[in-house]
Amino acid sequence: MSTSTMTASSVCEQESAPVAQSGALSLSGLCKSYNNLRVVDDVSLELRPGEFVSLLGPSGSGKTTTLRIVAGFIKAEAGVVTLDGRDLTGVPPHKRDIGMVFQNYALFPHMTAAENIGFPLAMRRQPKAAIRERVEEMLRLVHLEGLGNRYPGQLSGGQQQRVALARALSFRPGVLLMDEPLGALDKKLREALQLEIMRISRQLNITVLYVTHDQAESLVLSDRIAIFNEGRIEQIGSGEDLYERPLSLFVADFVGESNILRGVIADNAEEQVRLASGASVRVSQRACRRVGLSGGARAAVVIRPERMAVRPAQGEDDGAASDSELAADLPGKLREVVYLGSERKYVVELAGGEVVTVRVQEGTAEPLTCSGVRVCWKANDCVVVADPTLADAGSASLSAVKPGGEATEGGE
Amino acid sequence: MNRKPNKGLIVAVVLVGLFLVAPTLIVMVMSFSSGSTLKFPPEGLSIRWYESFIDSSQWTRSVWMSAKIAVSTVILGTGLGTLAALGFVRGRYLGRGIVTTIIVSPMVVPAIVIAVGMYMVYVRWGMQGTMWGMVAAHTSLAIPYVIVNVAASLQNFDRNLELAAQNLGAGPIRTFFRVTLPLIMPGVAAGALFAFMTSWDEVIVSSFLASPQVRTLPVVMWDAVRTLVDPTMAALATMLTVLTVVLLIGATVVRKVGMRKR
Repeated sequence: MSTSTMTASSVCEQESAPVAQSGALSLSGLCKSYNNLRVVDDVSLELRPGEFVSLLGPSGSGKTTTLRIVAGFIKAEAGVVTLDGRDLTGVPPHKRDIGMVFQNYALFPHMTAAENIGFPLAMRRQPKAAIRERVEEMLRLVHLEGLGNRYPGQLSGGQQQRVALARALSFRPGVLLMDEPLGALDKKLREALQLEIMRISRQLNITVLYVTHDQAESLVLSDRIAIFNEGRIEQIGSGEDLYERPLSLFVADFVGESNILRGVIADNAEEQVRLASGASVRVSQRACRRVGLSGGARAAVVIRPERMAVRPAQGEDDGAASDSELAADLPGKLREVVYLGSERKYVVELAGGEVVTVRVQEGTAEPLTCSGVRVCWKANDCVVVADPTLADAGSASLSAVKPGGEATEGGE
Repeated sequence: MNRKPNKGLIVAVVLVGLFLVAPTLIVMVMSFSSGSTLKFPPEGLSIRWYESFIDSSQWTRSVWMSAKIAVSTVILGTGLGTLAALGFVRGRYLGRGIVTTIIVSPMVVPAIVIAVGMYMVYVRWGMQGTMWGMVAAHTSLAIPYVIVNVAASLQNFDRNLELAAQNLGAGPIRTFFRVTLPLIMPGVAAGALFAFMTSWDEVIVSSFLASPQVRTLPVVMWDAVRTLVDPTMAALATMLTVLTVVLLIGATVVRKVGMRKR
């Protein structure tokens, strides 16, 4: 026992020799309501020291409120935030030692860049010489050497953002919070600063909680992403987890582009999802079990556009059923073709009325021109999630069934 | 926009300007008269009436008294008014509108009504004729102007700056003095200027609350105008006008310099 503990601790020391490993942030069961509306609903999240986690979701999904609870600006009705095991409940914001970068920088306009960066150090009553030295160091870190005497109004948006970052880091906080820090910048600058933020957070090995509604940004930056929806965390995982293995329809729809086919899992065989049009899609039993669905449940089949294939419909409809690899092979009409340079996007209306998008890499197949096509994909390339859609929405999709479609409605 | 000025417009502007400024200019010219009555044009030029003003202990005492009262009013009125403005802009409580209306009411209630009311209350409380009674009265008249000015600058204030200060380790008091106050300073300074002018110029309420020991300059001037009219008045008026102009120019310069930093 004792030997194994010793080796474990020595390994730890080797890995983190220069920096003390602090910054373990834990949120558990956070709740907050405004006017009886739950804006944050039982949010729990664990951040390892040095981890970069994004809170991603549509506006109004509670991610900024969560961040402000961590910063101490908002009191949670329930739940606890701890930093390195220290309970922060009741600790006022100025005693939390958590850095924050605001959406519009919130730089003090009456202080120079250097005074802004030195502000948290002055508040901690550090000696002037030490402050000056640390400010220089921070200016170098964010590549703003020589601009310390400028006022925020004399700096560009990107430079202001760098000052805000330097200010939030100058006092060596355990955790850095960022609230859509790049939202006000143009695309090119945003991408440059993303890389900068990544470099700095890695270099300082600091724990970061990052709020954004830009999924590309969160994919670039994060170790893990928490998807927010209506005050709740829908799913936490790496970008790949969320894209390849979404656990809910919301996540599947929100992260990346997806084709969603709604239907019901067949009662007798859990390997079939029957669509509204009556067509069947084969899915693996494991895929249904993964999200806890069994026969008779409403389900949605999610297929990414680049995982689908589209080809001309040759001859009669039942020609392709022979390929056992395919999960489905559905007839449809080609509605639109969009040339995107590296790929071509086909918009196809299936026989059941569902519209799907297929992305085909240029050069892998002849461009399609005919209107009658077939769309197919492999069983491994689709995931199944529960379909929480209400009954009336379901009947709406049923009404979209073409008169020519087979009547499998009562066929039980 | 380099448009040729319209000649008719220039004439109109000059006429309106003259109409506004001419009475003051006439008084200024008269103050340098060497004669002993107020007359325009003056009989000759001298500064004897300025000397007479400085030699008269009645005048200099009232200037000194007015200054003490005005400065006290500025300190009290600006402090209280700024706090009140914070409460009005930031606070969310029942009856906020009513409280606001009451505090701002001295701006709309006729001065004579306030004067009579204050006089009756002050006599009962033994505050009539005291300097601090006068300061209290002037402060209540000045506070609305401070509130209006400070509230205007608070409206445009980004509260994230205060959150940022707290996040960076400043407690509520240091947040106020290091971040909020410097940024609303233009409003506070304008409020202080108004508070000073309110106290310095006040005649009606001051006349009711004055006593032989506590007489402000406007009260003495008012009495002087009714009894004897000599050019000392004109000399005094000229000095007061110059003081006001200097104050206003000073305030503008301070604001311009403050703006350049941003």
